[in-house]
Amino acid sequence: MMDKRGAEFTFDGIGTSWCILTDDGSLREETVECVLCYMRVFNARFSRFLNDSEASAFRNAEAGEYPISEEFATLLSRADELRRLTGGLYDPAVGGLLEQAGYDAAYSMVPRPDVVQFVLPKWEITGQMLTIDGPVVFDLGGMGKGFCIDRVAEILENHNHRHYLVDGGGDMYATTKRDGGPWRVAIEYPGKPDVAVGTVELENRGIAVSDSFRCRWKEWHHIVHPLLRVPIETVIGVTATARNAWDADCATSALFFSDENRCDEVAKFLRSRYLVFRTDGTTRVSPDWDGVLFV
Amino acid sequence: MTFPRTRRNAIIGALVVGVGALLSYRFVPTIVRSIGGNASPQMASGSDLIVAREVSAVATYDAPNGTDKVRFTLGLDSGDAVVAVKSTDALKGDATNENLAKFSEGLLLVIRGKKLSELTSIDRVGKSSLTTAAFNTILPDLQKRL
Repeated sequence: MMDKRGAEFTFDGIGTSWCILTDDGSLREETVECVLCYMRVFNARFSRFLNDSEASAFRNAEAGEYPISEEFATLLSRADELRRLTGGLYDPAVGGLLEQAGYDAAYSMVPRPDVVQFVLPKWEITGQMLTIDGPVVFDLGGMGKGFCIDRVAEILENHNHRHYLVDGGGDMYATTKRDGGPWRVAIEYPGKPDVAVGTVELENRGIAVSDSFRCRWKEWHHIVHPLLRVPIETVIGVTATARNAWDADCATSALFFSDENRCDEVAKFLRSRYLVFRTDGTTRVSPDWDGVLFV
Repeated sequence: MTFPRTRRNAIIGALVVGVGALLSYRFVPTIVRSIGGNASPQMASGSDLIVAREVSAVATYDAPNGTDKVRFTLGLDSGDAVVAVKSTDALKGDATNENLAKFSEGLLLVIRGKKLSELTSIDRVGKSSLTTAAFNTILPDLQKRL
């Protein structure tokens, strides 16, 4: 556990609670400022709840081709890969559907009558050029946070920290502790905040956890089928580990939408290991899962 | 073997659940036996976790081309937690063959879990994060309206 060189820094960012554990001294003031600044800028640029963000910039746009920032292009390019990997079921253009279902900037949580008529916008990304067929709201949930965690880790590295864990609302990236040992992380059972599924040791890798319980309203939750316009109910949660937090985050999103016989293919693409928690109470376990499970 | 995947999954699930349940009751000697009774730790194949010992069970079931036997082996750490699972062809000297390697893809387990408060030496808890501050603030109002 932590000794006098261990330290903890907590803050709020992109709508959730963050914690940075360091085992090689406290964060200096300039490091803290860099982290907080990055979080503020990331939120301002990519939150679909902000009308002047890049994710919302095409809310009223006409069909056409538009230049976008390098970072947004990086995110949408990965989203495009996930879209292909899941046969179109993971799609950040689902932002409009979430809004019509009530998960909007005002948190109205009341589905609108026209939700059943939602048509998924079409978009393509080539380099830094985005092509759309009309108005589209991008929702980077399921990939943005993991990306952000890795950028925070980069900031720590640039400020000479080598032994740390970055926890972004339950998703994480960790190097090692100062003694070379791993960070030990318990995994929460989907929908059961006081129950651990098992534990996993993080050592220069990331973990992401996603479930459908944390944000439910009426018959909806935040993970929706973009074509059927209904929430996904065959899977209640996914956990994944990967070489970094972004890959782990993307893996949980892709696996949520994947047919069971494609889980291994999806995991392999993202070099990840997984637990898929099914609605029937069983858990599909990646053949190479290396954590402890409490069976 | 050319089992439909759903049937394979059902069989695997049932077998693994069965083995897990048996383990919980400290093994039934006539059904499950320790292989080797490993007293000294060893490295689990494909992972960096320490397997303190292994236990296995042989399952027999009807296949389209006859009877198949599959040995399911669980690697346990010092606290009896499962840290590895593998299946091998019991009819071929326990050598893993390609079909069985595929057969073991996506194993189904029933995970009972443990109380978080019972765990020690945990640095953090991995969990879904969509309980945003903003979402929490509207929860009471939301609950009244549902």
